[in-house]
Amino acid sequence: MRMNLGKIGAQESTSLVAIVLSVTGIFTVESAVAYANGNSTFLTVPASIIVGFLVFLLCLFAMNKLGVATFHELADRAVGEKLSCVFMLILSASLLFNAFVLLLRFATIIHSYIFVESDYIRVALWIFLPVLSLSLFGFETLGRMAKIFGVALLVLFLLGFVSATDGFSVHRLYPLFGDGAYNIAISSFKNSYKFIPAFIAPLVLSKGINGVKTVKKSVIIGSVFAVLLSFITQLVIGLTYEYTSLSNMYFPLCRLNMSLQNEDYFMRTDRIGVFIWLVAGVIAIAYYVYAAGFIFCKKTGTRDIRPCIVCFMIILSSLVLAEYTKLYAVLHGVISIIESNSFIVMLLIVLTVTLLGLLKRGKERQKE
Amino acid sequence: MSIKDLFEFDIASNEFELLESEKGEPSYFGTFHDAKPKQEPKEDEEIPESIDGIKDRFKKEFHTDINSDIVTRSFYMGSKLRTMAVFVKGMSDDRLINEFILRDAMQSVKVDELTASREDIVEFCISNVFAMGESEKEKSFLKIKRGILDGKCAIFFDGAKSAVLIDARGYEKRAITPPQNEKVVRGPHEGFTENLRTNITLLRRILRVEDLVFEFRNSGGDNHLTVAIAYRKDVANETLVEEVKRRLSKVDTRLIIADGMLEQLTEKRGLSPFPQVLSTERPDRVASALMEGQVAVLLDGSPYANIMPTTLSALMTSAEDIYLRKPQGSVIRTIRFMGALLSIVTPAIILALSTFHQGLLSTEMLATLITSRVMVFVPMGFEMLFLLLVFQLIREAGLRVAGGISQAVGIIGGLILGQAAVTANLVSSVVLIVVALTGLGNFCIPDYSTQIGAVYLRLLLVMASWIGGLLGFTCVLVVIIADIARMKSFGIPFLSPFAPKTASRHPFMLRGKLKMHMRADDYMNTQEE
Repeated sequence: MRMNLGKIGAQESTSLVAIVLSVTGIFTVESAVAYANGNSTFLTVPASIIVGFLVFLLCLFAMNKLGVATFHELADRAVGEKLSCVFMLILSASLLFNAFVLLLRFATIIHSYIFVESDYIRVALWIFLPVLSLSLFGFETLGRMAKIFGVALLVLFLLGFVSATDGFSVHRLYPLFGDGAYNIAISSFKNSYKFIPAFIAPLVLSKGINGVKTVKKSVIIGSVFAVLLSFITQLVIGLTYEYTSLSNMYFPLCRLNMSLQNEDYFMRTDRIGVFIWLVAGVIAIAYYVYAAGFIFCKKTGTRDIRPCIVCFMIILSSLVLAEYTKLYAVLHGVISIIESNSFIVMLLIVLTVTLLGLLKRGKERQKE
Repeated sequence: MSIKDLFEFDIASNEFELLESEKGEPSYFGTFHDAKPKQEPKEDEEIPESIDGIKDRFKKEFHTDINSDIVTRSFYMGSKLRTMAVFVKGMSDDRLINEFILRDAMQSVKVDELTASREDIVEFCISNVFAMGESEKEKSFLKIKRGILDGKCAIFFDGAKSAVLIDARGYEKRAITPPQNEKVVRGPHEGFTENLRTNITLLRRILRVEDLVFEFRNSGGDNHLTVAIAYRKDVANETLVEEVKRRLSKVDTRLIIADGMLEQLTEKRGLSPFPQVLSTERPDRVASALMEGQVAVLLDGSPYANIMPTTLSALMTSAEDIYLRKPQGSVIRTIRFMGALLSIVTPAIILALSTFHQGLLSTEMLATLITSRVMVFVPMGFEMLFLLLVFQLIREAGLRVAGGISQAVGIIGGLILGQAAVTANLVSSVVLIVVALTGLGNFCIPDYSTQIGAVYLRLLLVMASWIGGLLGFTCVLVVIIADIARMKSFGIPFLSPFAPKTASRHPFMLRGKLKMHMRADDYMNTQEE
């Protein structure tokens, strides 16, 4: 069997979870939607992560009660193998969707800020190379990569903000909570569709993280980092630009560094930052692709993950190519439909699995 | 070939040529000829009972009629029993054979003491006749043959089905000298030699522990060199020892001469730029590894030992690190890591910045770069690759030429050629400086194989930067680091103890406290844990 799972320790899994959640939180914010009625992303993004974390805790509780080691085992026990297969394939697809969104985002950032003259697809193809390699190398390599780059990425990320402090102004946060608490709450729940699969994936891969206990520990610490980092990032953006300007910017974080970083003695470091984020992005995308492949293989009984990952990468590259060609409008229509309804689907799956699982456990106890 | 030969058409030259027959013509894309299946020699091959039979056997198998260095000396033990000594001149010590084998056998044995049973004679001679330290009774003719080729002296008795194999090895060997490639300022100045026994003695002198064992076996080559597997029986992980033995037992090749060949035949990822065993010529390094539960493989005829498993941290370690005080050792190690990193990434970054991202450079730096390249007609990527190649040429030439000239080659290459190239506008001075810095950084890497590995990576990154700028550089760098991260040496992750983080408190880059060496690394999973 070549599932390339291996085993990673607590430090590696914590770094991996932190990187994946932070990258998803920071780099998937759609400016036109998020800043349309005011800037409250510094609340909604961390809140979405917290919603995802609560879902994770619910799943973990059910898994502990049923005494199963992985989430797919829980689903098998709760809803039977056939329905579980459907649920898990939806989860796999949502992980792949997250990978696609991130891939699209990074390709667009690099294309629009650095390689303006170059073809979009060429830029995207370069990013495919490390994503494909990392996801093929497997979970163990992903964990180690996260460990190698985790602290360095955090330090470099925060250092970038230190130089931006001169341009901060509190009045730019007005209107403070966008267009009301209700909308913030709705937005937080709605956007958590990105984080729920990211949180469930470690439960699927728990055997590679030395069991559920290590998963719990890693996810708790990783989530705290992700919440703090996404909060700081969105706050810094909010303190630098007004929401009216932000809604027109594609990726304000890059603009923020570009506008505030003066020419240093040797070189300007603003655009270098994009490549540092790219490393984090590659790790996150590869994680999503690997986890999607792992779930797919587990449910279809495939014993080798590599063909599956190659297929997924072909699908992703086709989608990115579609984005580049005339299918742009159609694709965006599909993306917005998925984004609007994914939260409900994900929540339904998780609630069905956990609640039915707990009910079954209750019945089993009564029989005993 | 003379000039006359050139003009002599249609006359066959007398020059010798080894021609392929039509049958042996290679296929279109080339192939390996199937070698004749090797006849596995039988371990339990019996010894011929008569001395004449034995002599004939040696004549047939060892071609003693041609090989005058293989001595088959017949004599009468106690003037009665026909006996024969067989040894290889030059491999065995003539003085030992003459004084303690032949003289004793011919003179001191009384005829009465020779009992009726021939098998008892062998035992009797070992106990009473031959005053040699290492003598054993041997029944297998194959083992006897191997022993003789190893420098031992075999004594055959007429009518006996076994022989006495006496260790009378006494071949010429090099004296112990300081290590050639791993020199230190502080610390021992003894290096391994080509003699396995000497190397083992060097290790035993440092490690006076009861559980240190040396398991001898055939290296797996058809030339039957001896290999010694060294480990601490009560410390080393048994699975690791078994894995080393398993891989060694799978070695089956025509020839093994040096440890490098054995290394390639026992490692799992042959295409990796990094070695998966640590090759060292320092007994103190091997001793340190053995104490920590690692396994070392020593090959007869090779002045190196292979330590397994190894990590990147170990490959970046010099023997001297531990002999210096902690802050000094840490500073040196940090500089070494920085040097290695700079040597691998600097050319690629400079190339990417100056060809794709001029906007990222400051005005001053850009101006310097443009001024230096104003008359250079080749693209910068080509210039960088060309200079890196020239640097490798100088390095290779410096290594291959005789000791005294190597310095001159360095001076010619580094100063004269570099200066001339800049003056001739073949290369720019900035690129020359970058490549020179790269070369210096590369020499900071203590392990020779890793140095060569760094060259591959550097070239790969330069090409990626030339094609894709910083994007290409970043993507390829991530792939390289991922490949290193997934690599394992005999089951141990290559980036231990950093990624994966292990319970070991040994720092990856800095030098740890000396007290830490009280215990083995966590990732070694030794029996001490």
